[in-house]
Amino acid sequence: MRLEVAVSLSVLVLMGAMVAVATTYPAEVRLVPLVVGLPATVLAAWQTAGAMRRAADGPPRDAEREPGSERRPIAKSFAWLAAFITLVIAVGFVAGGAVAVLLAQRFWLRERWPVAVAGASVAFVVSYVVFERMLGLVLFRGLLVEALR
Amino acid sequence: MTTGPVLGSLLGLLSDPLLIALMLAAIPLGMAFGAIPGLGGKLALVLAIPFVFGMDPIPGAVFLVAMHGVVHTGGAIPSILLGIPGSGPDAATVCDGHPLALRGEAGRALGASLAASAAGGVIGAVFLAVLIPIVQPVALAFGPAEFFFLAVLGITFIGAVSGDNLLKGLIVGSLGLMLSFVGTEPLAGIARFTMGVTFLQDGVGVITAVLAIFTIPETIALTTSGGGHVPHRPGTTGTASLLRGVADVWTHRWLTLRSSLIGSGIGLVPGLGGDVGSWTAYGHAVVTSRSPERFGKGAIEGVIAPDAANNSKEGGALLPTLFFGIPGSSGMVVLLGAFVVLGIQPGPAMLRDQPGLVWTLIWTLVVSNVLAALVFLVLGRWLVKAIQVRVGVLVPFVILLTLLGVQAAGQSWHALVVLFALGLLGYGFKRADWPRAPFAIGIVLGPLMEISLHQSLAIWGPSFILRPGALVLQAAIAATIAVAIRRARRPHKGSNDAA
Repeated sequence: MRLEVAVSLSVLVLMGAMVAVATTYPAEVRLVPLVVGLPATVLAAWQTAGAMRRAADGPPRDAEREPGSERRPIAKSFAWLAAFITLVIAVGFVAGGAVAVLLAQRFWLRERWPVAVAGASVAFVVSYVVFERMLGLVLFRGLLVEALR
Repeated sequence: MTTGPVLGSLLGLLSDPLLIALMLAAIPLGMAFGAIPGLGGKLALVLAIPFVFGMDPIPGAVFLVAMHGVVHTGGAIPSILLGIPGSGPDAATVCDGHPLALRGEAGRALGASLAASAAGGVIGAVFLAVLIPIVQPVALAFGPAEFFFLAVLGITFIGAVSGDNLLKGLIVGSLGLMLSFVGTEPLAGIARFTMGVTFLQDGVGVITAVLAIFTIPETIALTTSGGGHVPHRPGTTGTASLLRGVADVWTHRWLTLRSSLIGSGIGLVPGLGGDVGSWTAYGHAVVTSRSPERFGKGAIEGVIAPDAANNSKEGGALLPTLFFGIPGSSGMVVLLGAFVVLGIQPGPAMLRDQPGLVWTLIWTLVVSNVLAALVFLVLGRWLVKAIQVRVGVLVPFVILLTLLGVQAAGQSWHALVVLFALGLLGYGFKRADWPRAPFAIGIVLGPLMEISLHQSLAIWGPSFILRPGALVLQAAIAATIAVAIRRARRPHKGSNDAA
């Protein structure tokens, strides 16, 4: 129920903010966003109110809990995803991608070192050999690399 | 029209070892470009142009059409197995294809995908052949007014794909529409919802949004479920499982036919784009299903409909490209350029002056789609085994491919931040049981709807709603809404799991 409230509230805030910003635009520019956004904001407010009421009435429930299964924390997974993306942004797809795969497999998902090293090698092949050399796509080099140039 | 050039072209195609070899080389290339997220048929054509330069027109055109015609056959593979769409039009396959794979029916989903793709490609080629005599008035009948109502028709499917969560579906669909408005407003050139961030002036990319809403949540869910492997059922990954999926296409043959015609019709209209075809076909499958509550959870029709439409679209798109020189899609823009390089001059005189070439290209679509299905059938069981690895090995590569897909789609590194933010939202939707397909429909159709509305008002004023094509589409919209209302009032049947 708390998750339901959080999602509903997030969408309401986002939608409401976009509608508020849209009102500052010239008429022809704000027409369609307001036609879509105003009713949607009302619906989102209705949904949020309903979710809050249900949360106040009933016990919390988790929509996807599998009884008896071991669960890794969600926050940890998103933290690792953020770290993965940060590494790629910092040092690029080729180097950052390979290092990120290595670290994720070894320290997040608890694979053995040989598996993690092999994974990093495959990631390098995919990024550099397939995407850059064979397909000719220039992948992002990373903010740090670009700053050093 | 005599049968001479029709049958003669087929015989010429099948009896020429060079043409057969070129098709056999083009098919795996096209499927590979479709399967690697973010690449797609357009890039495949761009990279192939230097290789066909200097070829005779027919071999070069056969190679290009065969390669481009099977891109979406390959694109369904990562959509089903990994939840990563190969390109925008493949995103609709993720909705039900990936849930099928997660509950151990990857083989069946792949089998249905390959058969539907093959059927769609063949039907698209037949559509192209049948429409040749009447092509001009049909293709040119669509204008901004019809585009607008076609977009609205697609948006009404938001209600259909929302299942029991109509309120949430409408909200999510509206959110997708609102996010499609982020960027530089197309008519006035004013930046909207960019918060002063230069990168956002190009908008939130469809690929980025779809990957964030579908792929990221599924990937995170894999890591948090505690299981060591992607689930699979013994005996559901061999050839028998693939053939079961093929049989499903025959079981749902009328849906396959309708979806193929939807894809062909949408491909025929320049400027609509492949995303519209696959989502319209998906929405149609939901609306016409007797148990729509299964969609989004692994309904096999949710794989059949968009995949048939994706491949049939190519036949439809070839029509304005060949006979008017008007590209039917962004991929056709590149194909048109390639034809000119080969010395082929598209235009109305093509059928009169080069009937053999025209029919050879039509037969190429047919033969290449059938051959691609056979290739897929042979490789399918090994593709399914590819996801039976440990979650710890699979997940980092899924994440890397997702990021590469965003990059390959032409987005800057800032899009990776947007991917993460929307991925958080998408995971929230998944955990709180909010439907996510409406979001994709909204973000795909939003720009078309807005531009068409402004153009229609500028050309005809409010009377654009009275154009004949617009009236037909308004009737279709009303029928869709009526079906949704009648269904909502009907007592619910028990959930009928497709397995």
